[in-house]
Amino acid sequence: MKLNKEARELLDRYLLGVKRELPGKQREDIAAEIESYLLDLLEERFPKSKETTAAQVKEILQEMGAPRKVAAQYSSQRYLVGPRLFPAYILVLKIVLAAVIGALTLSFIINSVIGNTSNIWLAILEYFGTIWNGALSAGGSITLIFALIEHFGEGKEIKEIDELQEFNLPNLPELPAEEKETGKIGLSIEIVLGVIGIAFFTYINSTGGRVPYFFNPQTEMELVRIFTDNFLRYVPLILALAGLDLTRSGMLLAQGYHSSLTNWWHICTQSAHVVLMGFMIKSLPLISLEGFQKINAVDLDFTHLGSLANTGIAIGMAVGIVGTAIEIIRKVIREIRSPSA
Amino acid sequence: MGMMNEKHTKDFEKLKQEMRRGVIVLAAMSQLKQEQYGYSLIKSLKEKGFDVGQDTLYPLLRRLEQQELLDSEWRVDDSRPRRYYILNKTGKEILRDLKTEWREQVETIRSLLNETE
Repeated sequence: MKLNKEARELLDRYLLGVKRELPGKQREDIAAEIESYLLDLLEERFPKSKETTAAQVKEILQEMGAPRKVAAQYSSQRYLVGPRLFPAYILVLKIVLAAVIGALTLSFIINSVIGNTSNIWLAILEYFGTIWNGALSAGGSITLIFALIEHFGEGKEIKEIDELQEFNLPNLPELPAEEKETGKIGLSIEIVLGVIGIAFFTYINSTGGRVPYFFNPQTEMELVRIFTDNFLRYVPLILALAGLDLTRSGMLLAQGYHSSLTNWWHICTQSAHVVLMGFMIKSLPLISLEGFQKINAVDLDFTHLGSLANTGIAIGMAVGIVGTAIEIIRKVIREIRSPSA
Repeated sequence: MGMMNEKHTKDFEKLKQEMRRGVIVLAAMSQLKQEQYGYSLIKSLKEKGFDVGQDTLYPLLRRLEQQELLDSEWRVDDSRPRRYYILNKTGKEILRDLKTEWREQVETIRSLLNETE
């Protein structure tokens, strides 16, 4: 069987197309084998033709498909991130994305509270833009790092990755029934304390930071100012957060288990508490005891006591910030690794 | 109803391909006790009821050769070069073990399928 000039040219062009998609070492050998197959196929398909035409070659090449497709059959499966690395990749991606989104959200809240934003809608739009850019570049970087590990670590042992595939008892998630059951007594106490707290802060907001006192039980009750204007500025936020906490506790009491919604709700309100405490530390003094000086016959330096109390509050809040931040990180990791229903 | 049938056909074809993928190696190796070139092997398998395309068979032959189960050589035949493949000693041993394994699996599957009837 002989191919005419056009048919030969078409076949050669096709084989060149295949060769260009093949790895260097085996290129010629694979192309020769494909050519041999095509010639066998032509011979069988057109047995009576003395000379094979370009139309006949075209017919069988169409059945074969694009050169890229034919060449792809000879290449080993290539991955950006392969099955070995994929579980670790997803885990790292989730944690990094949660951290990036959390950090950007906190920075947005801080900026909003400080009052650097003139147009709230523009700020929200900017926030979503920042989240999108941050998530995209964090996700892209993680993907790139894993793709490099995949490429250069192919066939090599990677201890950290292999450990992830091994059975490790402490890493097992807790059973949902045990882990997520809520304690009704604890929740009821939380609700009662929440209501008392809301009532108290609403009261001091209405009295301008004054609380009642009895210097002498026989006399009439009077008010003395304890909370400074700095503190009063935060009362609406404190009330809002207390309201959110109270609603969450009520929800938990009603449904009887921790769900993904209540857990993330808790993470968000705790994050807001951290931010709030940070701002409150910056706004010292929060309380003033000087009001007692005028009414108390005891010879005590209430100015000094007040500054001691403010220092104590600042230390307490700083400890609270660290503790709550650690708790938030643990909760985020737990929620990502073993999400609630 | 039409969509259900279409889905059924699609699912069936997908699972059938998956099932066949595992046995192509055995089918090809079984025909390579004698020397064959790619096209003749495809035809030989087709004549015996096992239809396999060049896109599957040729890469498979290369893989088996890389695993040192086949030997191959280019030879000019009918004034055209062709690559001939044949099982080597290791390939024949592996084929023997695969045949035993296959027969055992057939028996297991047969009894499993009988349970469901």
